[in-house]
Amino acid sequence: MSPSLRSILRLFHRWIGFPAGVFLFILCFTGSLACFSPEIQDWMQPSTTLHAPLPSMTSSGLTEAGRRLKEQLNAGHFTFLRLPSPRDPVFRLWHYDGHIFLGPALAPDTGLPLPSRDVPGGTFFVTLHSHLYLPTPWGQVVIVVAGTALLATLLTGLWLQLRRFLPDLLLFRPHAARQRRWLDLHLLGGTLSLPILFVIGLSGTVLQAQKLFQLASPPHHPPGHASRHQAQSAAPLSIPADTLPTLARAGQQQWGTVAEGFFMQTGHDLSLYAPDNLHFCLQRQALTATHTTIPARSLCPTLHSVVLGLHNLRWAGLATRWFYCFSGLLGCIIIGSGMILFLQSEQNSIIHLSTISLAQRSLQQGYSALTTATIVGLPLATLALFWSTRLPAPSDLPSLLWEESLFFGLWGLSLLHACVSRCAATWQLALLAILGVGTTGLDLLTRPFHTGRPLLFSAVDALATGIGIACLSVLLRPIYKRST
Amino acid sequence: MILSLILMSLWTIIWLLYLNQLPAHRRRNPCHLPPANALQKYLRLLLPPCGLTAAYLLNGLDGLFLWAFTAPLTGFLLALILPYPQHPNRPHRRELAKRSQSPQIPAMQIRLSSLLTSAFIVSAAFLGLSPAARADRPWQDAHVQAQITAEHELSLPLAASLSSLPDGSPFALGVTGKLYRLDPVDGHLTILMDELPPITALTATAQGLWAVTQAPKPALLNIAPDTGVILNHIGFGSALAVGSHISALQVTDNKAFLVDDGAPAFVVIDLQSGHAERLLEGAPSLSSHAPLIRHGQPVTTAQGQSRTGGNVHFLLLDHSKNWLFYQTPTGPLYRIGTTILTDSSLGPAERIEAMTNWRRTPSLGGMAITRDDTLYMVDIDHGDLLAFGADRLPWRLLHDDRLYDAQAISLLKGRTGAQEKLAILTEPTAPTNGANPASATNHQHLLEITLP
Repeated sequence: MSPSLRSILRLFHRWIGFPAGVFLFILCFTGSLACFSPEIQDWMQPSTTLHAPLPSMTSSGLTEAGRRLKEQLNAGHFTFLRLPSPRDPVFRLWHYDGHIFLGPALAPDTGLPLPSRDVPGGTFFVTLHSHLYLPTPWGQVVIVVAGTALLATLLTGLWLQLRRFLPDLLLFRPHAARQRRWLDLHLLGGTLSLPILFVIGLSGTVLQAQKLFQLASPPHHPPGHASRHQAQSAAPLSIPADTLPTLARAGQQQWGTVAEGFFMQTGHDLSLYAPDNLHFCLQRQALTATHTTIPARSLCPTLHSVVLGLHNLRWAGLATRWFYCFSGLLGCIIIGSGMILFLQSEQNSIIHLSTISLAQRSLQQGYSALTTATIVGLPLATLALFWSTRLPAPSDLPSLLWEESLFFGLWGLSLLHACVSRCAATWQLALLAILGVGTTGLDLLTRPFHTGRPLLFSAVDALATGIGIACLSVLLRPIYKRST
Repeated sequence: MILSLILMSLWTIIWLLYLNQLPAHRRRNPCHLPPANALQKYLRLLLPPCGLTAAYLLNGLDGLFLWAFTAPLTGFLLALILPYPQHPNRPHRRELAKRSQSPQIPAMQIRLSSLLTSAFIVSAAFLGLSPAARADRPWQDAHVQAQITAEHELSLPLAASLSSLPDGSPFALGVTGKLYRLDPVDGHLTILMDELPPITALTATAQGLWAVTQAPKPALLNIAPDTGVILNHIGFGSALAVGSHISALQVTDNKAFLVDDGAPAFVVIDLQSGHAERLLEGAPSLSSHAPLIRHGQPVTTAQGQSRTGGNVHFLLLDHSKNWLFYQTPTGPLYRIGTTILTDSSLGPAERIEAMTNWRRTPSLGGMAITRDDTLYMVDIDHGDLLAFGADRLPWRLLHDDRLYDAQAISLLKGRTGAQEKLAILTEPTAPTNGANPASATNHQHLLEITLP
């Protein structure tokens, strides 16, 4: 490769990678958390995890839950009822507030509400991942641009590393100079997970691009067509008391399981939708009172369903989801190390200058602030959100508003802090370490000790502690080096 | 979950096999399985598809995705963990790490064990951190000493250069650059061919003699050892700098490696294409940083100032042709991989990093290497013959006052047999203070030494 081509590729890789990296880091991080959306929901609402042994769904429980669903629908709330599953063993009577799913949790055996408050839950991260909490279509536009940038960055990175791709596949030199160390980490993660990153990035970009196309050319509806909401609000819904148990039995026969399936109003009917984890390709098959069986369809009816199955992995087992989550976190490491490398090389480019102008200094501070707010600020805000769901909210604020405001407020503060202070990263890492290490204590203090899902709590606590310890090791490394 | 553990183990084996097949200079992370062979290659190629099939049969689609996810994550974790047992965070760790790259060093097997058992990790770390492990062992008298079996006075003045063909026939260079065949039985010198241009450096290999001439035009010559006919003639192009003087060279099947002690650097010549490249110019390990000591006294110049050891003077190639040993007359001894010098993808920083300090040595009057990669050195500071093998045990084989004046050393016939022999060229003895002037001679001598 000629030096000029290498310079051009490097220029593209750096200047596409850094701005896109901010969004890609958010997408990777929230995508990793979204793999365990129901589990996060349960951690944030510990009272819904019940006691061991976990009760199973009963017919009377389903009837009672159906009655409450009908009440909600008749009151004009577009609500649906999600059925219990091993991952989330309670009924969820949820509605969509424009960003996340909210609503009471109902006991699977009685259908009565469990004492819990609304929390952002796991769907908060799903929403953040799917459109960054930005209004439509800006969220989709940003993600498509970031996804395209990811593909471009992967290709330029691959081209740059092509000669050493195989010989240096597992090369990591922890005792080398700082920049070399970060570069090794970046290349190590990038080369090893290149195929996975490419598939995930491409499928995510395609999904968001499809949404954008749909927004640009919405489906044509005949005159007089009413939306689901208009249809349900036009007349009160009449559901016989045994409809839900009957449909649940039909669903059991049709699909083998209804766990994670959901009841939702379609027109004047109540339909039971198949669980999302039934097949590789997402199929929203529905049974209604008049159609209790549906003919067999092809497993993957559309390309969209294939891409959705490939990206969301809702069908996957626990181990695969864990590894998917770790792959997302590996993506965070690659992007984070890339941003740090960008920062270092920008600093190196001006360090030899005799005079550094105010603009150059401000630009450096800006890059540094963006990197800090992305790599440290986001995990910090996330842990703060976890903490806020377990601690009482200020009395004059609705808890949900407080928790979301805390997340975005803290994230914004992280950026602001990094803009004005050179030691921001250290302070924020220290705070992140405290929150991470303290999560286990908070968890044990704010939930019943005996719970039906000890592994769930242990796993979340262990991950938070791992983040805390990682931050502590970064903070203590200079002290350790000085002492040795 | 069990499948994911199986897959992670499988990928660990595959990655270790991958690391094991890398050349030593690429293998920064240690993997000391038995040397890469065909079985390992087939395993490395077969295990991934076998794992994929098994994962699909055991767990369907989930298995396929698990197979794909476990590969990078296992590799990532392995790459992060492996360097730590290798590099204790102490001074000289780089040296220790570089030493471990040689596949024939016993210390490496300790590291293999350290990878496999945590107990050995701890013990290896303690071993690596202890001062005794970091220091060079002192030279010790060998249980069986070498013996000087013959001494011949040479009739012609020779330059400090001796070299032997693989069959043990030695060749020498005259001070005027003439090439002589040396008869080790009586020290008789026979000129090989009168018409050869003046030669400054010489090495003998299975492909014949290789010599460097700097006048009328610098070139590398391949000379038939029996007739003196020039078989090949390769120019240096722009690989020489002002003041260059090639002091030693070694030749493999397709490359020639030369050291320049005039303007310190390596010169690598591709024998097929004739392309010559100058590398590692001015690298610190190519220059001496200590005074040259002979017989316990610093060697002085005509002006009475202490002479330094100058620049790189000795260059040897190991039997596998993978490693070059080089040093200035005052040491220390350095080692570098031949692939480091020939791999065009490496930059200067990586090459400098790969120049490994192999061992401190006293001031030397010659150095040779045997087929089992034992280095023989003549210590002109103490008048000793030293041996340093792949086992890194330093032995003092012989002490003799005549060795203070050693100029060059070479292996003789019998090098592959049980009895190995060395020839040492000594310079004319100058009368020292208080010594009997009659003991001084005007002729060089050739000492024949039988090794234990």
